[in-house]
Formats: sequence, structure tokens, C-alpha cells
Amino acid sequence: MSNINVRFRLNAREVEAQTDPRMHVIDFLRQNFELSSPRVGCEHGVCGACTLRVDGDIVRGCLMLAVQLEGSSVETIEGLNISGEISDLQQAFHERNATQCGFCTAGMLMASQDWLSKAKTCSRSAIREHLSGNYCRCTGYEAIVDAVYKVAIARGISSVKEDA
Amino acid sequence: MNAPIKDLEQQSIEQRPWIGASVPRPNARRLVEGAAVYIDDIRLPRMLHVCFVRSQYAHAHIKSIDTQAASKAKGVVAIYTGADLMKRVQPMVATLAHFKGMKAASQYCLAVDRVCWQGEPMVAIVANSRHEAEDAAQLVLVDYEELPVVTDMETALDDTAYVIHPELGTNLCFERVVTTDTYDDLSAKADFIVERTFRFPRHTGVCLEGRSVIGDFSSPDGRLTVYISHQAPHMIQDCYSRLLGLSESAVRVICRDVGGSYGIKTHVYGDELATCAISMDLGRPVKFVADRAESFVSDIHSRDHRVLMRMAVNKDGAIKGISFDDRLAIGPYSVYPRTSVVEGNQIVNITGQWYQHESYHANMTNVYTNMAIYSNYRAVGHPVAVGITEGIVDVAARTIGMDPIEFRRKNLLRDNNFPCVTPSGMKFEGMSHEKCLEKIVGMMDLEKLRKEQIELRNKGIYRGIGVISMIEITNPSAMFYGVGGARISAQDGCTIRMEPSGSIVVLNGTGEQGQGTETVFAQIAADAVGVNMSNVRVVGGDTDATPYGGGTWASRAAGVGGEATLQAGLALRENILKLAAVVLETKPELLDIRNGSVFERLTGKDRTTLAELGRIAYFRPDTLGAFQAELCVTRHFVPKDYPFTFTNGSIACHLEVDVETGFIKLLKFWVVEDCGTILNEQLVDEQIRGALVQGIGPTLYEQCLYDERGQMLNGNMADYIVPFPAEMPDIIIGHVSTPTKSSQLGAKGAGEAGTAGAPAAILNALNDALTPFNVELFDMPFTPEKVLRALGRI
Amino acid sequence: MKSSSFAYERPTDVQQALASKARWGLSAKYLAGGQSLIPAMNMRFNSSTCLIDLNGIKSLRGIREDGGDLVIGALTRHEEVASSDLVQKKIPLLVQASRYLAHVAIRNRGTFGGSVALAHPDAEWPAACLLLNARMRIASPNGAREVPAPEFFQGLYATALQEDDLLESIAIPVQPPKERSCVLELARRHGDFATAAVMARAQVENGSLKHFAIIFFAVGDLPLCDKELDKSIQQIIDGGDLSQIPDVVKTALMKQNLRADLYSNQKTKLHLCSVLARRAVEKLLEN
Repeated sequence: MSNINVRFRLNAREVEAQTDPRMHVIDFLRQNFELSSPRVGCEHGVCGACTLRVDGDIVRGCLMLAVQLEGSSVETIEGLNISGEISDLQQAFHERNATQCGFCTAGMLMASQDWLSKAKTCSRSAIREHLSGNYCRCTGYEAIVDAVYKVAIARGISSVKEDA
Repeated sequence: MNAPIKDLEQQSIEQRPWIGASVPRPNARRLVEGAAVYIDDIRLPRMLHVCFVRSQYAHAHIKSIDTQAASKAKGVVAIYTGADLMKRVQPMVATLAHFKGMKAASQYCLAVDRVCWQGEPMVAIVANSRHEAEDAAQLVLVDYEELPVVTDMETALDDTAYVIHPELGTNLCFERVVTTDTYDDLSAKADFIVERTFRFPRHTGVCLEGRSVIGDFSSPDGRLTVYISHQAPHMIQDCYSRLLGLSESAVRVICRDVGGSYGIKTHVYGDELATCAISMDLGRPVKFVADRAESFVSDIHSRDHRVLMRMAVNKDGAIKGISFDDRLAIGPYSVYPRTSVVEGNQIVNITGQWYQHESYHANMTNVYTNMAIYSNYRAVGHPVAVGITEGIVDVAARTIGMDPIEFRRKNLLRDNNFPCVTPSGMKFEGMSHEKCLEKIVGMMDLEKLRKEQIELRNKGIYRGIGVISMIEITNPSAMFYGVGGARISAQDGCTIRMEPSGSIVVLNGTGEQGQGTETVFAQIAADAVGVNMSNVRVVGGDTDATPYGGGTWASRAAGVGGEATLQAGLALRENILKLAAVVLETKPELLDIRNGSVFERLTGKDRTTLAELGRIAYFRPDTLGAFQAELCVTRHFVPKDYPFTFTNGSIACHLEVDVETGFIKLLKFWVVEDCGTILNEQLVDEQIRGALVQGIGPTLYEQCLYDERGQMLNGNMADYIVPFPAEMPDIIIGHVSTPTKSSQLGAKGAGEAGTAGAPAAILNALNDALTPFNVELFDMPFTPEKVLRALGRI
Repeated sequence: MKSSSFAYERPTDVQQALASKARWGLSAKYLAGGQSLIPAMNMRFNSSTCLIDLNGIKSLRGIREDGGDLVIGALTRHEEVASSDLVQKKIPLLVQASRYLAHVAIRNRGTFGGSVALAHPDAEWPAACLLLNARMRIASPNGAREVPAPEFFQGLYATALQEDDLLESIAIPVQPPKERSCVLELARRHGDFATAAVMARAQVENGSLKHFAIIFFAVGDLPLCDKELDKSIQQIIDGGDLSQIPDVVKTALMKQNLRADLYSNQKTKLHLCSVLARRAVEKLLEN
């Protein structure tokens, strides 16, 4: 099938590329733009390793077609490194060893930041529930919850009692 | 003589600021910035992509393969069948001499004539992109003739069973019986015999990064570079060179970041090997990345046991004997080179051995089936050994009406009674079962939990508490593989080099997959030499660059790789001081190093820096007279005193069972782990947590489900259930420390204990919760349906 | 797991979409949220030769009030429904259900109409549509029509949608002001499709619950409801002894076709339904 031209904003820069319609966003970003943080873990939409932001919302990159990015704004960790938006979260992950093999980390950071940016209150169980779309096989999750909780408090999100 | 690092707990933080500190991992910074480099991130010029046509059937004769249409598909460069690659690649036969009587058939990297498991790779399609390779794969026509399928371990050895490999004459891979002299019919000797049948499900690893390899053969050089997501680069170098007909030095193996492994990536896989053979044929780099669907049916599976477990006890609570019959189902081939029998073998070695008992009888039968290939996965055998031991201990305690903690107090090996040799023949150097048990009981406030349990029962809420004791094999010697003829190294080497600027570079072949080995080696090297950790760079994962190493498995990295690093660092420190003495015109024994500075021991006065010594050694050797500085030192280490260095610990689980729905909620876990000297407590604790959640997986959720035709029914991320955050508990961790004397560092391993103990802790907690109903469960995973059935609700 | 090749079209209005579909016929599929279709394409379970992307059609988006209904555009995202103040006010059952619906990243793309059109047996929206008496508004080359939910959902992944139909919106009567509702799901993991699930509603009249209705889903090819069962449970509510609920539920559901899954057989599903029904009533009676 013939390629389609896609114009969009990638990490705050206007870009353009040709793509086979069947390419999903992750393969597209990895191959056409040589970004490595968007990752493939399952291509089912379950593991969350492919989580990135499109038009401000987190999505599964493996379940979105590259051609659907026309006119959108895409943000990956590479872009967030430049803007510094999650530098406190990255620091917390690093200090707390909330990353081991690192494969889930980009997606986990995206999902965590999504929750942090919207949460009015925080509890460990709320964090666990929100991050339940992101698979980690190394950490057992506790360090990740610790790191996100710490950042939540530091950002002024008030803590509430855990569900029993 | 400079002060050696020993009795680390006694040394002050000034003397050794790094070992024991919970420093964050310097090499993890790139992970949080999305800058990790996994094999799929590597692009080489003219690189091709391979995908595999895999068998649809669990057992079938391949009548014909038609690749005509596929070869004409867009982007296809080459297609290989098993017959094609037979000419280039030796078959694998995975037996080891110390597993006496073990039988294994030849396995080709791509199936030849016959497929033996659903998912076995048959045809390799090489194309310009993975997409195009998959398009072509759909055009390959295979004519199969189905053969009878063996999936039931219980009938696989019957006379009427179909024998998968006629040349072996049997589906029996390996059996082993261990019986003590004192063993006899225990019923005559003990007041009670308790007996239960345990089931542990077949499950798999689900590493988030699929198995990945790039084979890059340079024809002019005759050199193959293998970029691979793996735990044992030197093992791959050895195996691939022999199987591909290359000399050892013609193969270079490079491991970059590894996206999860846990033992899955310690083996030789036919598809990865084929990828390299294809690169040799084409003279171009070829990349293979296993996608999720193929991972479920081509990564090794593990566990899959049915165990009949018995314990003889007296009414005073003394354990008189332990006996069991363990049957496990492996795949159709023994996996190369570690074999598929280590799991069962470990179970025979260690079951029950942390309890006092005289009489021991272990019977293990390991049978071939047409389910997916099977081998070592995190905690190899231990979840079963600990599960059956701790499960039957609680049953025994219940039977005689004794508190399960009291029962353990009575029977656990005494802390002050080491070293000892167990009835099964294991040599234990030193353990702390009593201390760990008391510590965990305190940490969890067991008394309070028991009170609360009674109160809640009256309200119809059923909580359970399970406390278990356990051991774990770490730091194995050559007794593990070497003695059997496997070229898998139990030793490790470390080169430490001081640079002209005074910083040090540590070259260590052990490897890092996220557990923190590079960090721990940097900590050790910093203290051993006397520099700030920020001046230490660790290089690993390259067989061209590091000393020959064993890789990470059996929790050996800290204890073995770490010790080699320590010895190399101490030796370098000596050499630096020799140089300093010449430069400063004094004696080496009057000097020492701290924080990159050479100082006088007597006065504490700084005399010179490592940077200055580096300048002199490398650029002004003319000023040193006859003296030759040696600022690059290599040391090796292999555990010699004991075949294995055992750790021990206690794990407790608190859970709640919804008896109306069968759903189990994990409330909390506690772990007290004794892994000897702790090098970085945060890293150790995070290994324990991650391992524990991996142990929760198959206890409550994970199982590879097969039908009678050998088809995997749930080989996808929706139907194969791995733990996600919401259901997982917080885990509270404490430590006891019994350093090993077999190394200066005293560090034992810590990576697998959580996986080993979690199933037992959950099993005991579940059965404890259900005591008011007089039901027990031993068939994992404990699904809601099984709980409901036990309760008689369905 | 790479999809096979397909052509891609991105119509800007419904008529264009219908025309594309007419041109491609059976081999083309509409692409809405893609959260079910793309995995199927990735796994090559589905090899459509053309995907017609509906995401650019503005008229298919949005939630509005129309008479006694809320009208939800087919391309409205799950998360838009979940976070809508209007929905929370008028049809809180939908917000209650969204709590169980996958995860945020999926909800940001998946669509209400896509879920309804797929009719996955374990999905929340089809069950909600049935319990709430929704009406599906369908466009086609032959004109528009409205199909009530019980007629719309016909079987396992089977709906009243014909090959040339396009689901435009779903009209759902608002819940009466005195109505209480609840959604209870039993799932192995948060966000997974359930092992068994219920949605229930009842109205508060003079301090009592009346007009009880319940639907069971994730246990059959279709969500299951039974007006006689609703009445029986209502009688039990009136009588006050809720412990009788499980038995009447079992008796009623045994006449229907429960569907086992990999981990739970029909008996388990039946039992769980009976427990959930009682718990749903308890929940509605709270406070």
C-alpha cells in the first residue's frame, strides 16, 4: 500500500514523515525518528511499555496508527527530558531504585505523570490503581509507588487515608 | 600490608564509605531518561530482520515445506528451513555427566522432519523489515502429518504411552532417588504421617523485553559479533562458537541493557542461534526480536510439578522424616546447555533440609512432553522445595494441634549448629533460621494479627497468616555445572585499571540486567582501591573487554563477581602504594589511600594523589628508576569451600479470603533475609520485592494452560495473568547477617529468595484463613474457582 | 506481530464514511478507538484491506442532552464519558461503570460507539445500554434508523449493524432523579474484563427501593437480564430477607446460557452472579 504523509509535532518540533498506514505509532517513532524511549512490549495494548502522550493524553502507542498522528502533538520521554516536566519524578525513581531493567520505565513515568497532573488527593492505593495499566516484572511495584507518592506529597497533593 | 577489608560491619564508614551504602545506581540514570540501549535499539548498516514460521502443532511430521510464494514476497532476501541450517549448525544435545542416566535427544535450531512443540521454529524468513518478513511468513505452506501428543506427565511413562523420541526408548528424561540409610517405612517410627499432594503450575517468564539478538558476521574477518539480550555472554560465546563451527576467539558477545531476564535469557535458543547462522551465510547483520505471541510459546517454561509430600512427626512435634515423590513435565527437548533437569535436581537436594530430621527419601521423575521447552527460571526448584516443605510443616502442626511457629522453633536447624551436612548431602556453612523467625514474628506483631483474626472471623471476615522458613542456593561452585561437563563458568574475573587521571575502570564479566551488579562492583572497587565512587567506571557485557566470566544466575553476581572485584581492587591498591612508595621515597606499609589521596598512616597527612601518580606512571616512567608500575590488575574468584553458599530467611504473608467469591486479597508481606554481608541494602531489598512478586504470580494467577492436543490456550497478555500493581502488597523487609567465610566480602546472593518463598507463605496463609471451614488447598494457582470448590460453594 | 497491509481513508463526515465503506465493501472496517481492532490487526486475526478512520468526523463526537435522553456520539472516548459532569449528573451509572473499564490510556482512545458495535461479552457499555434502555442511532446509505438495545445486541460479537451501517450515536434515557445504581465487577486484576459482573438500578420511593432491575455480564455471550427475576428480587427486597436472593438468581440464570472462560466454569459464574446480585442490593440499600 502506498505511503501516507504525516505532519505533526514531536516533542515540540514540527516534523513530517512518510509512513505505511499499517505502522503503529511506536514502530513509526522508533524507525522514522530513531527515538528509543517508545517501546514495544506486547502489541496487545496490555503491558503499557508503549505509553506516551498524544495531545496531552496518555495513550497506547502500539494501538494507534502513525497516520492518525496528523496534526497532533506527540510527547515522549525525550521531550520531557528537555522540558524538565518530570525531573522531580525521574529523580525520585532514580533515588528509590524504582527502575531496574528499565524497559517499563518510560511508560511508567508517563502514566505516573498523568496521574500526578490530575490528582487532587493521593494515597498508595490510588497510585496502584492508576498504574495498573503498566506492567513491571522487576520491581514488584512498591518502589514505584514510593517514588510517585513522594513526588505527589512534594508537589502539594494532599494525602488521604488508604482504603481498608 | 594494607588493611584488608574484612569484618566489614566492624569497620568505620570512613574506612569503607561505599560498601554497605544504599547508593542509587549511577547507570540507572539513563533508564529514567529513556536512554537505555536494548538490542532492538541497535541499528547496523545493511541489517536484515528475521521472523520464524513456527509449528502450529504440538507434534507432527513435516511432510513438506513450500516457500515458493514466500520467497517472491516483497522485501524477502532469503528463506531457510531446518534442512538448510543443518549444514551450518550443530545439533544440541543437553545432557550433563553428573545427572546420571539422563537421556536427551538431538535438537536442531530449526525443526528438521518433525516438530515437537507448538511454537517450535521451523522456517526463517529474512527480509528488509519485520513487517515484510511476517507478510512472507504467511505465504509459507507447511504440510503436516499430526502425530500423537504427550501432555500428561502421569501417563507419559506408561507402557502404552507414545514415546516422543524413539531413539531414547522412553519419555523419561531423568530420575533421581535419594534415600538416607535411616529411611524406612516411617509409619512404624512416628506418631503421625501427614501426606498431601501439591501442584505447581507450568508458567513462563514474560520478560517485558522479548528475547533479542543481532548476529553480525564479518566475512573478511571471519568474526561473528553477537549482540544479545542475555545473562551469560561467555556461555553464549562458547556455545555459539562450537555450534557454528567457529573458534572461540572468532565470536564476540556483547550484552547491552537487558529488559528483564530472570533466567529466561540464560539458555541457548534455536531461533537466536539460527539468526547468527543466517548472518554467517549472508555476511550481513540479522536481527531477531521475539514478539509477545511467540515469546509465550518459545521462551522456556518452568515449574509444572505434582508432588506427593509426606512428613513423619511425633506428637511432641519432632520431625522424624521427610519423603516425597515429585513428578514434573518438561518439553520435548532438554534445553541447551544447562539441561532441563536442574529444577527437579535442586528439589531433591534441598527439600526439608533446614529442619532437623534423620530420615529422608526423595524421588524425582522428570518426563518429556510435547509442551513448550522448559528449563531454569528464577529460584530454580526452590519454590517447589520450599512450598512442599513449609506446606507440610503447617499440616503437621495442625494435625498434632501445635502452633506452627512453635513447631518451627522446635525443628529448625539450630543457629549455633553449623557447619553441618544434611541428610540429602548438602553442606551448610552457617544459617540463622532461629534468629530470622524471631525477627519476623516481632516485625509483623504476630500476636496482634492473631487477635485481630479471631475478632474478624466473628464478623465473617476471614484473614490468614502464613509464616515460612526457607533456604536458597547462591554463589555456586563448579559443582553446579562444571563437574557435569558444561562449559559454564563458576568463576569470575575482574580487571581494575587506574587511568592517568587517577580514576579507575572496572572490567567485570558478570553482567547487569537491572539488579544493580555494576553499582555494587563500583562500590566494592571504590572501597578496595580507596577512591570516590564517582571516579569508578564499570565495563561489562563484552567478551572482548572483560575477563572470562560466568554471568548472572543462581544469585552469584554479588558474591562471586563481587569478590573478584574486591580482590582485584585490593591488589591494585597494593600496586599503587608500591608506586607511591617509590615516588615518595618511603615504604608501602607506611602509606594508605582514601578518596583518591595517598596519606601517611601514622600522621594522617596527605602526601600525593592518584592523579599525580598516574601522571608519573604513564608519562614520566623515566623518573622511577628500575621500578615498573603495574596499574592494571586482574583477579579471579570461584567459591571453593562449599559447593553452594546457602542463604536463609523467613517470609510471612497476611491475606484475606472472600469466602463468598473465592477471591484472595494480599494484605501485606514481611521478609527477613540473611544474605550475609549486605553491599547495598536498597538494591538487595528491591531484589527481594521483585522476586517475591514473581513468586506471587504463579501462586495466584499465572499458568500456561494447555489442551490435550498440546495447544497453549492462553498465550497472550490478556489471558495469561501476570501481577499488576493494584493487587500487589507492600513488603516489609528486615535482615540478619551471617557472612560467608568463603570470601573476604562475606556476601551471599539475594536475587531469588522472594520467588522461592512466596508460594509457601501464601499457601500457608490461605489454609490458615480457611481453618474454620476445615478445608485445605494445595493446587496452585489458587484461583477463585478452586477456593469456591474447596469451600463447597460450587 | 505486525499488521498486514491495508489502505487507509479518513473521511470528514458520515456521508463520506458511508461512501468509502460502500466502495470497499466487506474487506473494509471502520476504525474508531482502535483499542480492540488494532490488536486484532497486529495479531493478524483480522486482515482488512482498508481501515476507514472515523476519528476525524466531528459530528460523531460529544455528549448532549436531548429531551429526556443523553445522546452520546459514537466516537466519544470512554474517558470523556467517565469525566463528564453531565453524565455524572444525569446517568451516573455510566461513570460508576467506567471505574472498571480498562485503564486511562485505553479510555483516552477507546470509544463508546466502538465498544457498543463490537459487543464484547465482557464489556461495560453494552450491559449499561441494555439496563438503561438505550437506543442505537444508525446511519446507512438507505437512511437513518433507531434500534433499541435489546434488538441491537444479538449474540456473541453480533449486533443489528449491517455491513453498510455506521453507528452514529447512542441515546440513553437519563436516570430518574430518585434512582440509585451500582456496578460491581469481580476481576482478577483491576481493569481486566470481569469474571462476573452486575449493574443494578432501583428507585427510592418513600424510603424503600422499588423498580429493581439488574443485568449480569461477562458470564454469557450477551449480558443477561430477566424481568421475572427483577420482580422476584424486588419482592425479596420488600420482604427484607436478602439471603434469599442468591437462590432465585441461580434458578433464573440456570435457564440461560452461561459461558465458561479459561478460569471459571459455568457453575462458578452462576455462583458469582448470585453473590453479586445480593451485594448489589445491599449496596443500593446503603444509607
